[in-house]
Amino acid sequence: MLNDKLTNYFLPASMRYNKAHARYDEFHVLISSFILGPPIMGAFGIFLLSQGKSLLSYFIFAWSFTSLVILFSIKYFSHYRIPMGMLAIFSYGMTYTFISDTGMIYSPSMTFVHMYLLAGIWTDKKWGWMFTFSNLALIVYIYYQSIALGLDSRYSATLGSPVYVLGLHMLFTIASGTLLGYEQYVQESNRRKIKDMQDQQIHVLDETVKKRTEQLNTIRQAMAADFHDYTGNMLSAITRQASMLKVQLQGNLDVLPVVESIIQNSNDLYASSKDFLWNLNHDSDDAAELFEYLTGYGQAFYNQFDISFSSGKSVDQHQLHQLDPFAALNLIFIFKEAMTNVVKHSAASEVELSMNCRPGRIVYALIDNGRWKQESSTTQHYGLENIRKRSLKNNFEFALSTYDFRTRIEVAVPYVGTGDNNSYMYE
Amino acid sequence: MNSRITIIEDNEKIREGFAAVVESSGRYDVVSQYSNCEDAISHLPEDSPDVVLMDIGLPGMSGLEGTTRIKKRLPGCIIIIITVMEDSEKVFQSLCAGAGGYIVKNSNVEEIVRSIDEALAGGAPMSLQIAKMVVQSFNRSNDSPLSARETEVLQGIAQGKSYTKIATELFVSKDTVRSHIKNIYQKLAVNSKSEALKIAGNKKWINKQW
Repeated sequence: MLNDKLTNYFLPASMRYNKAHARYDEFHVLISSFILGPPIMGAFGIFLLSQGKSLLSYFIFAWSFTSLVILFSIKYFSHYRIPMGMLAIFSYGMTYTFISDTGMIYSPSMTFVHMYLLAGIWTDKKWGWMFTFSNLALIVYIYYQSIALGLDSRYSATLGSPVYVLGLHMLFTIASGTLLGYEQYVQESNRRKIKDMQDQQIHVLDETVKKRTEQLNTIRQAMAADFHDYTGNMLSAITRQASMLKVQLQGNLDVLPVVESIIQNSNDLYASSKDFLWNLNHDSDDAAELFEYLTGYGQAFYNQFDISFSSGKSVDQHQLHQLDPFAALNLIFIFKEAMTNVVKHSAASEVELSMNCRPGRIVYALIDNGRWKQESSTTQHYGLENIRKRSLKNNFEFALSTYDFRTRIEVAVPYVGTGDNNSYMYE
Repeated sequence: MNSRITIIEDNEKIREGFAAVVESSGRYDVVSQYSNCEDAISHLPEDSPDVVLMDIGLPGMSGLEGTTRIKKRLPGCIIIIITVMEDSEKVFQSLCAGAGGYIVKNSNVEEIVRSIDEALAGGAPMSLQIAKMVVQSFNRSNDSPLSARETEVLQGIAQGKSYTKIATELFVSKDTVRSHIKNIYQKLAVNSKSEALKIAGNKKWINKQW
């Protein structure tokens, strides 16, 4: 957990928490390695300093310091090659000091040289194999130093000739460098292939989604055009013919209500089809767009009467979240009902539609300066009952309040992502 | 003397329905009915209408082009668009072409007669969406031809206010508001050329093919 936090801290800003970044793996491995390095090596340095091994401990402190430089260089410059070169020099200085203290080419500490190769290839997947050559150069240098110090004459009888030891170390370096380098190359190559395949699949999926969306839009537009060309005109024709009939049948009280009912039904179907088409053709899950649609409806509706209508939203665009697509149509039905009720029952002269936000919900409200008919057990208020039922069914919070000679109907709608908005239904 | 009305609508039932409604008012005479613009334009001199009720989606010449041609030949004639969707882009384009207002096809008898009355006497209705397109259209031109009052009325409509609200705020009558709307329509037609149509093209009011 702490290691993750530290690793993310030292990652360049563009890669932080962005595993899809092309160089994320490379930097992640480097950082997680160098985070552990300084404290571990620092402990070695302190111990060796206390034992009088000053040169070695200085190399170790320099190494630890350079590790920190690498971490900050990665963080601020996304670069590590130059400090990494410095680190390699200190590492070799450290290793050589160890080896020179313990028998040169015959020293058991020669293992550090091979370990360094392993660590180099593991840490730097791209160029780590080059440590094979620097290691070979160091081994040859140690060999000549061993000869110069006359160690061959002392140890060759028990540990073998220096050429034999040199050969073994060189062969081991070449073998492990080649094998590990090749392994890294194969792994990188496979990783690239998998990534290419993933990219290709994502591209195919993107294209499919795009195509489907275009098809859906075409279907939507075709439906809307069909409504316009056929259904809309047909409903208009029914209304027109029924209106003619109504004019001709003036005075016939038996038939007139039926004709009026036909006109009413046709008008209702026409109006609800219009709402349905808007829902289909617009970003009906956009809270602000829905608010504008409701405002437009209210404006046209109240223009028929001597009622002042206005709207206002006290919410910034960035505060608005997506609504469930089914929520819009239900809200339209609710507020149409509420707006009609204002005219029918409240005797209001002023009406205001408003929108604001509260955590997890967008609140739409209709406020008027009239008084709504009180609900009672004997006289049920069907408009309010409908609004209440629809709100309950769709997980909206509904509230009716009266204050300062005003009536306020409020519907709070959960937005997508709040987890409690999955029960929208048409009636 | 009654105003003379011509109806251009390809749907026979709607056309006859409109004719019956208009005639029933007793204030208007339907002098002719056509199913296409071409026939209507060829009979324009003898019909000499005061008002034309025009469908947008007509076979052959569109209602939009028909509006332009009729206004060219009879500038005093008021053209009222009859449409299924009042917020469509085509309605805005028709207003730019010189139409003096619009009526929703499903409107009831009273609404139709009132809309014709209003178009002749004052401004025809204007919806919020249409008002927004009109605002943008005037914003594009450096010198807006609208007076300060007309601009206030237009902004009020674009903000979703009802005529009563606008009238109250401006201390004028509703009829004065309507009169301003009529002027706005007239200035829109004069002011808007291809620029206004470009704005409509960028919007997504209902369907682009309408």
